[in-house]
Amino acid sequence: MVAPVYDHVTALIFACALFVSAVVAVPAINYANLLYVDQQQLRNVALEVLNSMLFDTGYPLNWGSSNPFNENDAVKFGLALSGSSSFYVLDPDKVSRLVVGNPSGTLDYETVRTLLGLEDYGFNIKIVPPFDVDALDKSEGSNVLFELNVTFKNGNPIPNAHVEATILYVQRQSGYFTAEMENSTNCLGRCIIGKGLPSSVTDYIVVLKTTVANLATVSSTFMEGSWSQHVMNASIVGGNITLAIPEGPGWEKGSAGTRWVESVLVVNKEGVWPIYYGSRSNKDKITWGGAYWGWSQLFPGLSYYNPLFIIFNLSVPNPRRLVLFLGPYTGASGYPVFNFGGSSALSSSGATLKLQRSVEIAGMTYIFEFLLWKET
Amino acid sequence: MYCTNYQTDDMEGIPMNKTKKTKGQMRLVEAVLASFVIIFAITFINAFAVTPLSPRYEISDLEKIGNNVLHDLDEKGLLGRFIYDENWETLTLALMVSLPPEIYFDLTVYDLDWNRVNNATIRYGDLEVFETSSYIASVTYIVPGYQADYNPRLLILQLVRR
Repeated sequence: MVAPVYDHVTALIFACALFVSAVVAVPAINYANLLYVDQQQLRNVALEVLNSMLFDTGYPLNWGSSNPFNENDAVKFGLALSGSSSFYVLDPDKVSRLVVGNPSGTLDYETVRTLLGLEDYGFNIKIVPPFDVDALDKSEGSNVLFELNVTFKNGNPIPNAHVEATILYVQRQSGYFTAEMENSTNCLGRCIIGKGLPSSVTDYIVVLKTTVANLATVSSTFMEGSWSQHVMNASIVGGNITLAIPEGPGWEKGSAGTRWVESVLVVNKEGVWPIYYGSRSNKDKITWGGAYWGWSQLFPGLSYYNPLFIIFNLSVPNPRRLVLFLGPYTGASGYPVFNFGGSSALSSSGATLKLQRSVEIAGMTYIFEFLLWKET
Repeated sequence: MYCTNYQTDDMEGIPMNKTKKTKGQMRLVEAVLASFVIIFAITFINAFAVTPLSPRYEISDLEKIGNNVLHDLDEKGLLGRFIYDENWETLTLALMVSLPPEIYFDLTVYDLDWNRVNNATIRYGDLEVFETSSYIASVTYIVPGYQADYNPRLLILQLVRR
């Protein structure tokens, strides 16, 4: 009686052991294939989403241009320029809705994720210039001197890159002035941009256009020491320029005094163009609080000039002087979208897929980087 | 499956039947055999299974990137200009800037009779990489002419990820 029971128990234990080892062994045998399937799934989803973003205009067709903008305006998400006959051309207004701090309205990550149907996935978008331009400020007093370092994305230097610099400067309360110069990088990818400005200069901004193999990138740099003063929340949507009151030196919250918009200049890949001169009337007035929290103006036809960023020449108090501001900062730094979305550290499996494409925004070539990972 | 042993005790002179049930052992043997059959079947099927191998998709993505970059340069009017001006150095630089840094490329330009037009190498990366890599994406792109001249050029762009 004991022996059959013993046999059955042994058989049961063996059967269980076999079952467990099969459960462990079979996926292990198939692990490589399962991994491929997983990767393929992620890749398929990433390709579908990327194509949808780059080739689809979304709905409404010009959802990024609505003013005032509401998150619910976008029923379907897509960044392609409506009416473009070419592929990979993105709408600058739609792209600007991915920039955090855009005073005329943005789309947040969760909304875009829902619109793309990526609830179980995380993603991140970057739109970056095809090569890097770093400016090292070596200015002393009114002698403006910048050492530029032009490199590929892997850090290798780019020789013979052509750099055109436009310096805008102001002197106390007189209007703005410009000076232009150019240079080419040496075999180490470096060159110097320098100019002696009048000693009465109180502020300046340097706009840099760097061209490699006829592909250009436009960025800017400015007087160091108080850089937060030089950047403000601004946006260009269609022909509408909006400027929100900044915070920082000279703009402390509640500080008294009126700021005036003296002039506005637009930067595109062709150069720097004045588009507006203020008249010190109420429409050019900015103060803390009240109705003058910012400045907004419509410039019909502005979008045809493919503006990249704006330079504001403002008169500020305590003491009364002219200062130059850039905005939006992302455009001014040459990066249309720094970092939109989540962090790939949240990936459940650790696998992250990166896809990138060359895209055109406002006549300039950029690299669109898309990262996708599974979160649940 | 029952197995019964009949034995006789000769010492007592009385025949005695002893039954030893080995049913459990046979079940065990069956289970072992069955599992061998299952594992063999899975291994056998695995060998013939067509799985979506990643490298195939890798090539597909490289082809898309290659097409995208050539298309972008063509749209800007740069591709035609570089080719017909035979400005191979600048074309190499333009491709290096436009393609991700981890991608090696080798571009060859032909005329309609398949004569090689570029007398200089348009390449980023060692030639050895292209000779040894198992997964090379190849993109064919046609530039019909430059400005008003019809003089087609065939571009073969090979891409390898490091």
